[in-house]
Amino acid sequence: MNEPLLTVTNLNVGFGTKSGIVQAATDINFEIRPGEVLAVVGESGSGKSVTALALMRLHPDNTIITGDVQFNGLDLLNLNDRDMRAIRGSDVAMIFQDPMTAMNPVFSVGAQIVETIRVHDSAVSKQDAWSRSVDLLQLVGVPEPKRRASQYPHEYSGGMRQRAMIAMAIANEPKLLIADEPTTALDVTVQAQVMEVLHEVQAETGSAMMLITHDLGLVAGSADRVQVMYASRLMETGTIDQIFYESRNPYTMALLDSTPDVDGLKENLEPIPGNPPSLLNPPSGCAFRPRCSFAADVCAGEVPKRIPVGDDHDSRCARIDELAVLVGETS
Amino acid sequence: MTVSEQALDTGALDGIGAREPILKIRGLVKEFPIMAGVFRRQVGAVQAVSGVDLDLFAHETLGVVGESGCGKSTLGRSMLRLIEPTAGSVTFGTEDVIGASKSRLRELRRDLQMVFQDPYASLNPRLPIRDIVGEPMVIHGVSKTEARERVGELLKRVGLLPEHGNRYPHEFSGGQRQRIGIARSLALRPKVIVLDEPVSALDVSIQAQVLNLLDEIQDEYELSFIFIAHDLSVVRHTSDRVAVMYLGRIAEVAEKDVLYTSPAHPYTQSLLSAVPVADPRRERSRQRIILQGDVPSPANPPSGCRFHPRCPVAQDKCKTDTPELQDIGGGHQVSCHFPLQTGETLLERLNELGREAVISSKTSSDSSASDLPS
Repeated sequence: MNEPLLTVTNLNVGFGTKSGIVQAATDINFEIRPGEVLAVVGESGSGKSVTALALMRLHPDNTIITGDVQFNGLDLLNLNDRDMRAIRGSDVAMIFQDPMTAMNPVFSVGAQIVETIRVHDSAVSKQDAWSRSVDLLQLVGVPEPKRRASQYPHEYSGGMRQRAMIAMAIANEPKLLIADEPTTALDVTVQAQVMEVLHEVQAETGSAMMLITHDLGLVAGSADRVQVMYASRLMETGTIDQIFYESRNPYTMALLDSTPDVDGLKENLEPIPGNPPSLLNPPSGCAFRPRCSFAADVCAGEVPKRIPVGDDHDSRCARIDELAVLVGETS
Repeated sequence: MTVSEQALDTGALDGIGAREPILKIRGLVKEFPIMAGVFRRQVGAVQAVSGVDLDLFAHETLGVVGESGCGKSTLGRSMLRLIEPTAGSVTFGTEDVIGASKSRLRELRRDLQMVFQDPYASLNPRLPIRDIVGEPMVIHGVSKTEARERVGELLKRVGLLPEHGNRYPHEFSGGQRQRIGIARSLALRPKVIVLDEPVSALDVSIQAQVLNLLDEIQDEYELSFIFIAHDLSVVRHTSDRVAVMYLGRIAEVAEKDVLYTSPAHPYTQSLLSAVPVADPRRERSRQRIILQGDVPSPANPPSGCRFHPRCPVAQDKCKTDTPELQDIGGGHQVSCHFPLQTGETLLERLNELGREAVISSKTSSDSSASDLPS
């Protein structure tokens, strides 16, 4: 196996608030290997974006981060600000959900890509950087890239803006792309275009991608491996087939059962009862326990550990050994 | 004029037969003025809805799907006159909704209710839930004590506790707020509820709760729903019939299974092929037609068929002639000059025309990638 590109060990992210510390990401351990697509799925508030922002050190001031993040031989959490800035946008680049807030409205799209290139390599002349940004816009499928490069973000449609942001993100051929809900704001036909561009770009540059999304359909079509998060913790990690077909975690299973299917293969939707817990005051033991149909007394005790259940596959469930039998009984 | 005679006139309703619609929409148009200059003079108009014919039958759910800006929400609002339509008719039973006086419209609103997308914006933050749910009843002359009693029942029915009536909207989660919105819409025992993206702000586990709740109350209260949504998977789960909108017009209407298994409009077919499914094996074997470009601006819609600039199988006629919504059998209506035959795929049509389209499938994506500039 390749050396991992990114290794996250015991990462915890908390926010200090008036009512106490909100633990937004707890005990996060994972790695991303070169060239792979790792999807992080979970519902709102599960901690998936917080984890990504903490890796990039883009978190607000009231954040408490502990743990260790190794990227390509660098200790990201202990780099000085200058070195960290040098990594953002070159070796690691981010694509956000809303390109309108991520781009500067008073500079042309081309100028912003030029800046991204020259900040990291001042030896590149302005002219060269400009012609490269036109090439990049062409690569991500922006029509008439020469003319479009001199336009401003507000002159772009939503899908085009997202393409421009992808162009900016790949300008310095990053080793890792972090895409945080990259298509959530887009219509489904435009989403298909943007995902296609992301795949092409990723196949071409060989960069790894961390794809953060709530959409299991998007995951099924793009990821190599999947991490499922719930209430700040990783619940299950595995290859895409392990997660979708051989899940060993009640939350993952429930999430799949509650997702509607456009091909109509599901007769009934099985909702998950109740609501996600408050992170200020989480339940004892397993956070999913109050909503879990397999919950028992043992689940209220200690927080279950992540237990390996196969190659590259682990699950956080106190009743993991009985689960296969329990699932068989209810279905 | 009976329904069937009118159907012959418009050519739109053949095959539906004797079923009498509870809500009948004909030629509905909603224009918004475009103002410009210091004096805010009108310089043009956006036709958000341009000539929509739809029928809603008793106890059915009619799904209305489309991408953002296609006019589906404007359609929902103008059919209930929450905004005044520019032209067209809406008939509820035998009654003309568009021509109704203000006081009569208020009466009609007992029967015609709406649930909104954003559960945060549609509930008054300064009123306790009891007043939010009870307000429609008080407006319509139900005594306060009776209203209070019924609020308790309604809250219980939507899965909340009667005690929750004393709390304020901010104390509830998104899903619970949507339940409150539903309880409010049920307060006057309506016959029709227009649901405008009722679950799109909710997480998937909560979304399924609300969808199942809607299903239950529909049976219990014998309701007819117009279910407006952008999510085709959700619409498949909830609807009996589905209407697909594109740029202010109806592209296709059919029974749910017909629409999803043999869509006749090229737009419907490409829209369906773009929806991701939560099943890696199906995703891998799937061939996806990728539509080019974005939805054009409704302020300046394309000539002829509004879909023609993005349609991979458009022909010359599509650029000049506007297709009418026509029945192609069994109540399946489509507005396309060259509808796809049952079982015909867009790919087959493309081959027939000797054209290529951007097709994405997991097997071809590697070879089609272009070179990265260096």
